Amino acid sequence: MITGFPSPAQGYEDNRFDLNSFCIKHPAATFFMTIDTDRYNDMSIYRGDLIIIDRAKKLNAKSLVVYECDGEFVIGRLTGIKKEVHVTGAIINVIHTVKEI
Amino acid sequence: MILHCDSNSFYASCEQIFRPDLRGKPVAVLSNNDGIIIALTKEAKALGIKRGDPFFKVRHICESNNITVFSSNYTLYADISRRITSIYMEYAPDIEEYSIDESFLFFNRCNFSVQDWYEIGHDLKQRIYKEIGMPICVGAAPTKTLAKLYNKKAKEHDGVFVYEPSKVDALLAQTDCGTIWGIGPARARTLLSHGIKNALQLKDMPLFDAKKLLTIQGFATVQELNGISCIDKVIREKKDVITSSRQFSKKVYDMKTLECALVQYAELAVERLRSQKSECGAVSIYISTCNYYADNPDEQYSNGAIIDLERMTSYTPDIVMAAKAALPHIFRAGYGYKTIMVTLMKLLPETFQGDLFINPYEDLRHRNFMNTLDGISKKYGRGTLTLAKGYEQRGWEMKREFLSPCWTTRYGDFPKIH
Repeated sequence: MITGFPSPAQGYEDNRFDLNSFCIKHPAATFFMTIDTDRYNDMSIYRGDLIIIDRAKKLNAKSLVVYECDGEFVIGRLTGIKKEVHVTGAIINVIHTVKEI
Repeated sequence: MILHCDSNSFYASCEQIFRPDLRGKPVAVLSNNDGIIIALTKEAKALGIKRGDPFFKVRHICESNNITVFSSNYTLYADISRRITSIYMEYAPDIEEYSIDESFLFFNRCNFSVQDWYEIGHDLKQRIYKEIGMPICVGAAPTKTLAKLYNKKAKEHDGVFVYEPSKVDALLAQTDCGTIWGIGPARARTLLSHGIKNALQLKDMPLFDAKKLLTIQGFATVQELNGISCIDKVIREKKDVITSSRQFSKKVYDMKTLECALVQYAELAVERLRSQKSECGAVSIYISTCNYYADNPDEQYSNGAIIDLERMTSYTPDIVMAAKAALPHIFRAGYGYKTIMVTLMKLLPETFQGDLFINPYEDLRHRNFMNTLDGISKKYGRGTLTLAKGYEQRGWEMKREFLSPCWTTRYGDFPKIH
């Protein structure tokens, strides 16, 4: 038998916020890479960051993308790419863990 | 209409996705234990190696021609396959995953024109290439057998090839029977001895003869060539047994090492058991020297045992203990064992219906423990936490000298930007 008062919050419950669905719109086409260099600091992408790449996202000239250059993955704005390259996909999120000083 | 989608040299293409330096380069993938070549890119084919070649025989060709060789990385291939399937599901109301790299997409009651099907095919092909990085070919036809044939011919048609009633006979006339799905070389020889050389003759064969010559399966093939769908979607039920086995990289002579392998394979099997939400009532083990190329038949030994468990369970320690207890009974010293197999049997969906003789709290504690374990494996990769026994003796593990990272599923393995 169930006794006691019902919770006053009943009916107001919400699903817990889900970071996955917030960050990822196309799960099948989303891949992760990590940053092992300081050369993108001016783009606010730092060593140790995790980047989320959506290969399904429509690109425009200003899109920040990962592309293949001389057999390596590199990062750049689509406008800045001067030669024909394979674009892997758009960077949709950069996850930067704040380090304790 | 049925679309048959097949990835081009799937394993080799998976290895190339995260290796931009290998784009357009020769790549080969090896079977378990780095035994034979099971997949290769067209660039590698051009250098004279073939599927099925034993690696030790062609190793020098690979080395001197800079063919990049990989051990098979099924973690990676399964993830890529899962992603591709989820895109197929956006297109078709019903799909069948025929194998890791092939799927049938069923479009019942869709009256599109040939042009429409070409558009759908090309759209699908382009999406999979853009979003996953996998090149595929698409064949479209009213039956599975024809769709597979059209896929085979798709490479010559820009990757997409659609059935047209007025042109099918001409295509079948240039096709050998042996290349038709379900015929194969042996049946092709039988057909040839009855004067049937090409697929058009097979299509026009009287059904009565087809059944007599090729059994009911051949009967279905002939019907399918005539555009009458007879081979249904295969629905894979939950498995009623779970098997975990692999060959060792080298012979194992002592029971202690064999026991370690047994523990690891049993753990893997029980993990699969829990993932399909089942429990098992019996476990069988089998050990074998399994050397097909043996020079001396006296050196061969194999034996197995079935152990009934006290109750239905999916608790790893219980199952592992039962399997371990049986090993001394079948082990014979002096043989070089090459393989061990663990099979879980008498599977039933898991229930919380306890046994009168077990403590329900203890049972709940076990279940929570296994949930935690599975959670850790999911997050940090399989084998992060294992039974200690599995780690005492090493050296028998599968040979995977050229294994690539699990690019898509493991944090430490994600591609790095330098």
